Formats: sequence, C-alpha cells, structure tokens
Amino acid sequence: MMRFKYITSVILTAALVFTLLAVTACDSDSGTDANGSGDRYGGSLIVANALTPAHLDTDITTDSTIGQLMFHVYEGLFEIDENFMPVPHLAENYSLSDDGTTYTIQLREDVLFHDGTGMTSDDVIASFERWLAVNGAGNNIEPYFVSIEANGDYEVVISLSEPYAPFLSFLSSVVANQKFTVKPKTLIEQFGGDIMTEHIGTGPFELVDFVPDQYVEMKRFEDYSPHPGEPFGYSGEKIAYVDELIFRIVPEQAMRVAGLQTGEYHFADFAPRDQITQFENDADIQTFIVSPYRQSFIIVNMGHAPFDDKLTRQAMRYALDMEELAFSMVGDEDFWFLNPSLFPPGHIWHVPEGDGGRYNSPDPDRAREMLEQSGYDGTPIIILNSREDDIESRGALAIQSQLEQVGFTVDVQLYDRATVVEQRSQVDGWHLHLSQFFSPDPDPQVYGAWMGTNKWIGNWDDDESAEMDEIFTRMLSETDYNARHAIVQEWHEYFYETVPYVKLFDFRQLRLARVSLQGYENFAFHTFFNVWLDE
Amino acid sequence: MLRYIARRLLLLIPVLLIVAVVAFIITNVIPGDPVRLMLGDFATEAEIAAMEEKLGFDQPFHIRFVSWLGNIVRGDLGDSLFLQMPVTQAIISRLEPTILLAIIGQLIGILIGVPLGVLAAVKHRTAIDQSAIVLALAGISVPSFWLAIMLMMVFAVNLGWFPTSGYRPIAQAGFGMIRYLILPGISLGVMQSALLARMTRSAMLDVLKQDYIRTARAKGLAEKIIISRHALKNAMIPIITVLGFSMAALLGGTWIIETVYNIPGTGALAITAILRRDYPIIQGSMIFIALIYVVVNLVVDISYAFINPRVRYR
Repeated sequence: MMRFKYITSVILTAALVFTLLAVTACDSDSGTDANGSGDRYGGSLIVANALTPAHLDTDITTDSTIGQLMFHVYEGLFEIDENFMPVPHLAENYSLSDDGTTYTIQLREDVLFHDGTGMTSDDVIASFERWLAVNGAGNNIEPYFVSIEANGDYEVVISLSEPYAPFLSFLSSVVANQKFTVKPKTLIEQFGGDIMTEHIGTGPFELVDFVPDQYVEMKRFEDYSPHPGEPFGYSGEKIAYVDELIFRIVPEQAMRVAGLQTGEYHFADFAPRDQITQFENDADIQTFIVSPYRQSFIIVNMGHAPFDDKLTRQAMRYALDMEELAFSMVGDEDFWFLNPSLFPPGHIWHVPEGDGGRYNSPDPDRAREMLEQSGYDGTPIIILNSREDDIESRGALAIQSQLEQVGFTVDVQLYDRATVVEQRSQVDGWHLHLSQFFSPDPDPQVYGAWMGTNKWIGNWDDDESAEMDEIFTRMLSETDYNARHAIVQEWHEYFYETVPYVKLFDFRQLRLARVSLQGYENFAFHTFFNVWLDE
Repeated sequence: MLRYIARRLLLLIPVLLIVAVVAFIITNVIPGDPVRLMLGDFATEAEIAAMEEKLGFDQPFHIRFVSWLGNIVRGDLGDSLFLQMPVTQAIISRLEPTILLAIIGQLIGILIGVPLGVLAAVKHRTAIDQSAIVLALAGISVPSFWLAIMLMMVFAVNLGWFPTSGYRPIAQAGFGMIRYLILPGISLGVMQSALLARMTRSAMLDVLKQDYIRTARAKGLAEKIIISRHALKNAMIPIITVLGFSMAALLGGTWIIETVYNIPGTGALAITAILRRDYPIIQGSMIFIALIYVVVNLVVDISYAFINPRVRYR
C-alpha cells in the first residue's frame, strides 16, 4: 500500500513538473522573428493600440481611431505632404479650370485593389458618390457639387458650382476621417450607405481579420505598386516590409507599457508622459514625442446666460493662466507649448500674431472688473467633462480654481464619456466643456464646421456668429493663397475678439517602440509602412 | 428528482423575463448616447438623426419596449450596436476565456483554501490556526486589481514567465492558452481561497465536535483517516454551497480581472458595452449573469443529493 502511494506521488509530481515546464515553454507570439541578415522584409509587427474602433468603415464616422488603422488599407486620391499640402497619390496628376470649379484628375494606371482588380474611373466615381452622401466632409462639399464624370478608364472630371478652396485639402484630410479613399465599385454596390464589414483597398496592407475589442490583423499586399514620391505620413512611397501587422486593442495603459517592456508588443501608443525618463533609460525602448499632436480648448456654451454675453467670455479668458493650466493638465514642459495660432508652427496656415496679444494674458483684476460689468449673477458655471481623459478631468479642476479666483461660481461635473456626449448635445445643463482638436488639420475651413452659427455644440446664434460664418464663406471661395491667408488672420483676430472657444495650449503624445522597430516616422497618426523589424 | 429539476427549469422563464425587463428599463433610463459615440465627436445632427432612425432609436419608449419584448420571448436578444453581430453570438464568442478563468480561479481557490481550512480546524487554537485566519483575512482584504498588477509586475514584467496581458483561444494556442490565464487565475483564486478557508475551518470545527468523530478516535482510527474520510466528507455540504455561489460569482464577476489583463471574456464585453451604451449587449449580459446564478443554484441543490444520500427531492 505504502509503495503504491509512493509511486502515485512520484507520478503526480512528475506530471506537475511536466505541466509547468510545458506551460512556461509555450511561446505566446512565436513568429515575430524577422530576418536578421540585413533583409528588411519579414516578421510580425504587433502594436498595442489604446483605442478600439467600433467598425472599420472610414467613410461613416468621425472617429480618428478608424482612420489611424484603416489608412494602411485604404488610400486617397490625394494625401498631405510634410507641409500639409495635398499631393496626388492614387491620382497621377490634376488640373483646375481657370474659373476654379472643374478638377480634371488623371489616375495612376498601375493601382490594384486587394482583390486583384485594377482601379479605374468607375471605382473613383462610385467611391466619391458614397463619400459625398455619407461622410461629414463629403456632406460639406455636397451643396457645391455638380457632377463627376469619367473621361476614359483613368481620368475623372469633378465639377463644382463655385470655387471651393479647401477641396483638395478635404480630400486628403487625416482629420476626423474626412479623407476621400478609393474602394472598388463592387464593394460599394454591396454595402451602399451601410457600414462596411468587408474591406478591399489599394494600400500596402490588406485586412485579414477584425475582432471588435480584440485585434485588427493585416498582411502585406504582395501586388502593391508604391507611389514613387518621397515618403511622408500617408504620401509618397509606402513599402510594407513586415509580413503581418497586428493591432491588439489594449485599453489599459499599464498593460501596454508592460507588454512593450517584455517584448510582446513592438509599439505602444498613449504611454504615460510622466515616466519618460524611465523609458529613456531603458536600452530596449525608443521614445517618440509626437508633435504637433493636439490642441486643448474650452468649448463655451453660448446658448444661454452667462456666456451668451461676450463680456463674460472675455472675462473668463482674462482669468485663465495657460502656462499654469498646461503644467497642471499635462505636466512636463516637453509635452506642451503655448501657441496663439490654431495651427502649429511650420504649418502653411500658422498665424503667429493673430491674437492681438490677447492669448495667455492672465489679468485677474481686469477679469473681475469685466465680470462685474457683465452683470454675472453668481449662477454656478457647470464644467461638463469626462473622467476618462486625464488631461480634461484635471483641466476641469484647474480651470474651476482659476475662475473662482475672479468671482465665478463653478460646479465641475465629471461623468463617463457616453453621458457627456449626450449632455453636451443639449442646450441646457452645461456651460463649459474641455475638448481637444487634432493639430495637423490640413485646412482652416475644417473649423467652419465647428465654429459659427449653431455649429457643433456651441449654440452660438447672434450677429457675431453670423459674422464668423461670413468669414468662413469668404475663406471657402478664395483660392489665392496670400489673400486666403489674410482671411485666416482675420478669422484668428475675430476668434480672440468673440471667444467662442478658449484656446489653452498645444500638447504632445508619447509613443514607445522596441529598439528593434526601425524606420518609424513620428507622424501624428502612427503609420507602419516603411518600417521593419531588426530582431 | 426529474420532476424537481423540470420544475426548477420552468421557473427559469419568469426569473429571466423579470431580469430582462429590468435590464431594458435600466439601460433606457441611464443617460448616454450610443449613436453620438459611434459616429464620433464631430458628427453632424443630420448624420446622427439618420443613424438613430436606422437603429430605431427615434421610436418612443413603449414601441421599442413592445418590439424588444416580442423578440426576447422568441429568444432573440437583438444585435450589438457596435460589434456588428447578434448579442448571443457576441456572448458565446467571449465565453471560453471567462469559463476557463473561473475554473482555474476556483481550482486555485480549492487547492489553497480547503487544506488551509482543514489545517486551521485540526490545529484549532494554535499558532497555525491563527496564522491561517490572518492569511485568509489578508486574502479577502487585498483588492483583486492590486494583486493582479503586482503579479503581473513580478511574474510577467520582471521574470518574464507569463505574458503581461491578452488571451489566445484554444483553437489558436491549444494548451498554451493557459499561460494567459495563470496570473489572472491566481488573482481570482486568492480571494476564493480565503473565503473557502474560513468556511472549511468553521464547517470542520462543527464536525470535529460530533460524537461519531469521538467514536472513530476511540476505535483507534488514524487521525488522517478521521479527517479525510469522516470529518471532511461531512463538512462538505456548506463548502459545496459556498463553492457553488463562488463559481457563479466568478463566472459573472471576472469583470475587473478581465479588464486589467485585457482578456476578451464576457466581463470585459459587459464593461465596454456599459461604457459605450451598447444597450443590447448590456441587456444580454444581465440576462446571462442571471442565468448563471439560477443554473448554478440548481446544480448545487442537485449535488446535495449525491453528497448526502439523506437529501431527496420531490
């Protein structure tokens, strides 16, 4: 009996040891080895992506997460270059008629879709018509649209009713999925205006699988013919060196960082800015500070008192110290900078002195005085924000403190995002809301959809909002760069005069990569063509 | 016995129906707008109205309720607003890691908790007993998310024995899937073990005072046999009850651990559904959890009959 028990325990112990060995020996992500012999091709690049896309249809959403992933699969007729100028991409060339209303666009003849068929005018026309109908930027252009016609297999002619200065900028815009991308006509006929669940693009990567909340898997499109131009962002030459590109959805910041440290991921976005020194001291990790990235704004609800009065809005601006706010909201100075312009330095639409000295001019005495003149009755100002975004939730508290110092009564209300997006769409129930706008907007006209009479959530509807609309109308039809730049300057001045939003500061994002990731270009959107794994 | 089971199964229907109605009302009362989330920050009112019409959100509450109830009665939980798939399919596709995680958590709980409880009872009022109680208290008190992060830092980041997060299904990774579940399993199991240790200790203490234990000792049986065959077996009824409930709690309560370790289970599904107001998934998840509790209760009741032949159901 004793002998039997002894043998049993030996067998059980051996089984346990074997199991443990088997468990620790099972490799999680074997196959990430690339060719180490100087050949750049090969390997599986795994990205820890913080945000999860609800679907992958870039036309039907303004959620930039979707574009960030799918612009590896879909490409535009035009893409922006390093100066944020639209340059032909799937288009070979284009010309604009003298009256500024007709675009004749020649298409590249070597472009293949992932199903092997060649891209022709018919596909561009079908894609354009869908984009006009379902995309926000398309909706803006639609009132000016007259026709799109094929002139042979590789030329399309787009006619507008009047000059539309930002037309090509919108077609190439990376902001809020405004970009016009080309999809096969058959795919468009299959889905019409419904959200697409199949994806066939022209990009260097083709979609393999999408499991919502878990991963998006792509592989190299072997028959891709790159554009011969200088690469930048989404424009120019794009080469898929890695065999597979896998975006794993990892919402927890600590998990993204830990996974990167252990080598499970090659790349992680939205890393903790306050730990940058630790990452810089890690020999296995590269850090990338993304700049320009975003701008922080206070959105003012002008639909009711007290901010329907310009004087109260101006008083608020004089109450705010942007530098102090940047320190408390973002922290380390490497991650933010003060900028009065609504475009970052270096951008073709940057206006360095459009604020007339009013940006970041904290003057509590003047603020108190103006507030008194405005007849503010002490109604609590509700700052409505989401608690999920650390910059915004910290900002709400910092702004509360600064506003209270000059005599405002402030009530900070932090909810989950779903509640906030619903509440801020109402006229009542809130006064201020912190939001972020993407810095590399290709064109100032983008703001026309957000700033003006009853645009977005501002509930601005008075003579001044009408004046703002008028500025955007002039900006829309002015095709001369210098004349248009003067209008952009005028818009900045009027923005600082009327204060529909309060511009706080520009800030940057921290991304991390393993040192094995080579060739990564630190563009505002993370792009994984022209990168390879050196493992 | 069969009649009893059939009757209990029939009782499932009203319970689930009540849960479904409560779930519908709650999801419709809480603030939040899935359409605005779905279309992004800068969607126009026209785009939002079009999507609301497509999803039927433009209908008044009572019309939506009647049509939804009609579908529920037919067993159709509807389609997820975000996942482009039916709710039942979404839940089923997330079951594997949740069930495996609950089983591993439970096993770890039993392996640590029951021996610890027995030891504490046998060594009653000694230092060992006191230490076991302190350990159990610590186990209950440590927040599972904290333990999860600590385990990850030590065993995944520093030692590199396990992956930090994520999950690969059996179909892809085979037995390798267990690498993803050991740390989360321990995080869950520690709390279970603490509960089980306390329950086992008190059940064993009750049994050890019984006359038949004294008789067994009087007739000269070895202490090991008295503990394992006579005492532990008789202490099993309360332990099984606790095990049943803790299994239900594990299946329906792995939310935090799944979220921390980024495991795509039913808990993580429910959490993300709540955050983005995916109403059909929230309702489906509530019904799913209710179903687990009812079924586990039934299984526990039936198992009494097998463990204690004196228990018979009619």
